[in-house]
Amino acid sequence: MSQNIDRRDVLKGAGAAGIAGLAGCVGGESGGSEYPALGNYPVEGDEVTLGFNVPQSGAYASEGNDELKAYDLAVEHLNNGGGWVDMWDDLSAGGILDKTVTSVEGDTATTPATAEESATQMIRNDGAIMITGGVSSSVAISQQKLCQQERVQFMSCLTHSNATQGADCVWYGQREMHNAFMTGKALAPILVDEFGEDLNFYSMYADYTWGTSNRNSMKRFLEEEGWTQTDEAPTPLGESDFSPYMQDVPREETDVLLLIHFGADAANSIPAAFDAGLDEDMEIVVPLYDTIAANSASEEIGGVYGTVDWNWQLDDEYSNAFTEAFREAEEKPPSYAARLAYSATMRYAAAVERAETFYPPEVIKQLEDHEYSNTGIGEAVSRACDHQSQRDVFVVQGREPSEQENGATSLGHLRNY
Amino acid sequence: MSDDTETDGGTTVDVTPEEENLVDRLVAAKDGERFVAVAAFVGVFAMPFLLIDVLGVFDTLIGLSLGGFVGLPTLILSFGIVAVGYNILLGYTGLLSFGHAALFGSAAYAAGIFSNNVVASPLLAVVAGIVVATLLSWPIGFLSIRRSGVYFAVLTLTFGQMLYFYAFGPGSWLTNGDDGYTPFDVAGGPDLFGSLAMDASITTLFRDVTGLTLTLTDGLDMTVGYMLAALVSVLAIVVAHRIIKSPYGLILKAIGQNEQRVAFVGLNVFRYKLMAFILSGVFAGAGGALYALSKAGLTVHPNATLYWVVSGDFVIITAVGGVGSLAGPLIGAVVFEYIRLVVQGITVPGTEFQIGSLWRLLLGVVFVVVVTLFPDGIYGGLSSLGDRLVERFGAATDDRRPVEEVEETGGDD
Amino acid sequence: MTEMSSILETDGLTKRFGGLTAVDDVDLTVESGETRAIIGPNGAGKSTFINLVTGLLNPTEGSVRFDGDDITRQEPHEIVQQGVSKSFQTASIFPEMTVQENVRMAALAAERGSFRFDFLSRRDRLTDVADVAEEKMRAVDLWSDRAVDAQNLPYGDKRRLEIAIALASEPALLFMDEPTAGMSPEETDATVDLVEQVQRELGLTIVLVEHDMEIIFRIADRIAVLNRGSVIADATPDEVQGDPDVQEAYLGGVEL
Repeated sequence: MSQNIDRRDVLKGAGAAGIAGLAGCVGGESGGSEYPALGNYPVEGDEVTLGFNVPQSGAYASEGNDELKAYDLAVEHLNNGGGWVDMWDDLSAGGILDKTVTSVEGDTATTPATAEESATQMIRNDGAIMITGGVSSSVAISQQKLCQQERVQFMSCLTHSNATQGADCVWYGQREMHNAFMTGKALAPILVDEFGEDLNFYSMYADYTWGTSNRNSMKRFLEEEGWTQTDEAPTPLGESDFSPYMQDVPREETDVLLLIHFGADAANSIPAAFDAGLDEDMEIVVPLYDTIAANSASEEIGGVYGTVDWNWQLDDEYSNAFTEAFREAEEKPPSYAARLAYSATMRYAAAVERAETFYPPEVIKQLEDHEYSNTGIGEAVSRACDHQSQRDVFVVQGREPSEQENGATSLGHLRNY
Repeated sequence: MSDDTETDGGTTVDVTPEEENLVDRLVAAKDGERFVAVAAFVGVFAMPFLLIDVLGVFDTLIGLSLGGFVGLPTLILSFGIVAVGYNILLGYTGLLSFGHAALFGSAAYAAGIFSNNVVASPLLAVVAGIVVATLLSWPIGFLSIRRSGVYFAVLTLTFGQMLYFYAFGPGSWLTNGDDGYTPFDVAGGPDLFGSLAMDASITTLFRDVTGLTLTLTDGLDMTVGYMLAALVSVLAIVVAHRIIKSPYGLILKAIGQNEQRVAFVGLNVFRYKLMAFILSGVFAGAGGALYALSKAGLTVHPNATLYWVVSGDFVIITAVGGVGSLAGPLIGAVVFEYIRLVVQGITVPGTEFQIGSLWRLLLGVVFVVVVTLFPDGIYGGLSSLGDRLVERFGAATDDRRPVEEVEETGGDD
Repeated sequence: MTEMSSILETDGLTKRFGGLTAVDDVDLTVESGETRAIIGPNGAGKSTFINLVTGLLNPTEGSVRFDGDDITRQEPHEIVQQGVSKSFQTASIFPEMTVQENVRMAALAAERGSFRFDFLSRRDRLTDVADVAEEKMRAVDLWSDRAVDAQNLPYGDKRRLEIAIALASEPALLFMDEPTAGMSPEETDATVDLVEQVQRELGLTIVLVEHDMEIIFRIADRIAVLNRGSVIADATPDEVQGDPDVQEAYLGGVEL
């Protein structure tokens, strides 16, 4: 069960680096040859518990649901073989380090405070050795802060804000998904190519860390390319009626509308933009595409640009293996939220196998400066300085309704730095 | 005249001394202030043991994870204190406020903001929280009480939501909006008196002082933070008891039963209602500040503190626990938080099915069942069970029930 | 006129509800220490009149003076604190509180005023309140039932409790709105005896609204007769009995 260790114990034993919440993840805790008790290490018995903390209610519940399905699939594969377990050298069926994988779920309710509580319950009560999941960046940030305090690893799932591995980076966290900076950098040149030079854009964004993060990144890169922002408008997370905001968009001056929305927000704002007839006066861009939202706005999605972490139609052996397995279990293709979930679990398991222990500092070391190309997104490097995976960003464009048996399509991809 | 009565403020049972026995004396002592303080003290310190250790046994025995986690008792106390004060408003005065999240949440933010901008002292932050909530309850109460019944509820709800949206939007320079606010954002966590870390537990303190290792179960190895919360709770319970035993206890109860008559005996009903509201605000402030303390280094978020659903949670807690009793709301808080956080994580043994977000459904069922079977809540149910046991085992032959409110007529008759 | 010893005086008191004039230009005086009756058919405006005087309603026109002070616009609780009390037609009690608590409520207000910040002081130390309450409970013969919940009392006892509550406010002027309604003959007698006794002992002024003319004739010093909001007669019982206007108003109505 859990140890009742407080911060001061750890500081005395292992040096002062890695203190909760401080920016910069340089340094860490020394491993040593004998691993002392830390967080939920050591793992007793023949089971190891993973904690899946996803939004099961709130604006991002659909994405959370997808994540959960992928997590369950990962556990199934880790225990009984299948999917990437059969394809990765580091992994084999029979669990992780010969311990059967069990899992426990929590509901973040898309709210940081609730996520902290359910994560605490999973760590303290159920002895989870790793926590993963989430869609909202605020939730990711608060969860990883908690995990840092509890000395339990956190594998981010879906989180796009710069802050997650920026100002709010913690040593116990990891992120594979691209961030707002990368989105801006990848998307801006393409938009300029497609739409033209010296254009005006208007930014409508969800009013929290993720929204502002994206707003800032898009603004920076578009302005670098020579575009001008006319205005910006924050919208509350969970807003269902976007028509008043659409009315406020200055049609005369605006050439491009950026809808920085996700999940249920996007599912509502994209149709609202089209209902207001904005598509006739300007181009509409959704910097972070959400497959689920796109599918529910399928009438309007034609021609709309955006970025994604991944798309199931990518023809890559790992991509295909995952997609097949997911499709078989769920009878629909996976969203990239699902892939991120599956990948996070697999990467963690593989790191543990390579480290030959569950002891967090050793596992984390395995994930630093780690090059890999087996998660369906091509080549990637998991950086040591900020635990962010440096990888490609995929730019997509919505298909016209008539071509939509498969949802959004991939236009092409750009290497990202 | 019953001359053979105690004059220490206890209650009397209308019997002659030879017929009393221990049971009767316990009943009589039950309302005494000392008894309440001791019972509260025992209760708040026994709760972690019961919730974490005793229930945790089921996890090791049959794999059913019924035990609470360390941190759960603190949350229970935070909400419980609010409910105790809320009960004075609802159970006694009969005013159904749907805006207490505003008072709870503003105290939480105030304590947090105070801790990061003035001084990171837990005690002062609790004071700051109480002050802000009390100050806020005055105008909200003043404007809402002018209307009664449903309108009062709607007005309080509106004020609450105004604060909620303010915290999310225009006020986010102060509150950090949807990203949530981190209270006590100090390296190493907050401490008392500059040296006693809030998250230091009994075993670590023992080790610091004696160098020896003491082994305690998770539930008994309380942190300084919990002990602070526990002491604040005991104080809150004693104060609430005092209020109930003061003229206010009678007057507010009377307002709840027949407001017009209270005016017609010559009492200023509006001012008493407003005082009830403000008093409940003091308790909400204490609870909110303790909540912020429990979130040191983590996140205080509008959805969990200022949102109208949180106001509704206080109503449910009070109703399930027992409207109109002192201990009821605390029982309600235990039940509510247990279902919300522990039951949520239970997997039905033998299946893969985890209760998860069905907890609200389960809570609803519990609510309906309790309110139908026990209109006076769980405490009411326990209390009438207790009454029947007293009748059975107490020696009082008076055929009227041992009444709690019959007070002696003074000592020097 | 004896205005110097008038404890209550209304001057042109009028209440209109839209098109309906419920109380029409009523000038009424009550002398200190007397028992004043107000009678009239249903809908004559008796209850409205009382509500105007006790502050539940604000008059459209006119004024009310109590013991020389203008109480026209005062709140009910302020008027009670001045010394005007009322026992309600239907027993207005606190059902889930004991008899003792009911009476103590009124005593509390009388002894301690309309508002105090005393939420931390122990009410079981208020001996003055307890004494007044006990005295009134004994006066209406409810002392032995003091631990009973008010809602469990038989109807007659509830009425007596009602009176005890009104008395515990220690008023100078007591309005009694049909105090014997629904009572048996024995209870009625007992109540009337009580009223007489209380008045004698406490020097209370009583304004009585009643339909039972026997009672009126037994204890009233003066009677005001209302019909359709106006005073149509205001004299001693004998004079009123012989008044043709009164007889006409009561044709087919109350027994005389």
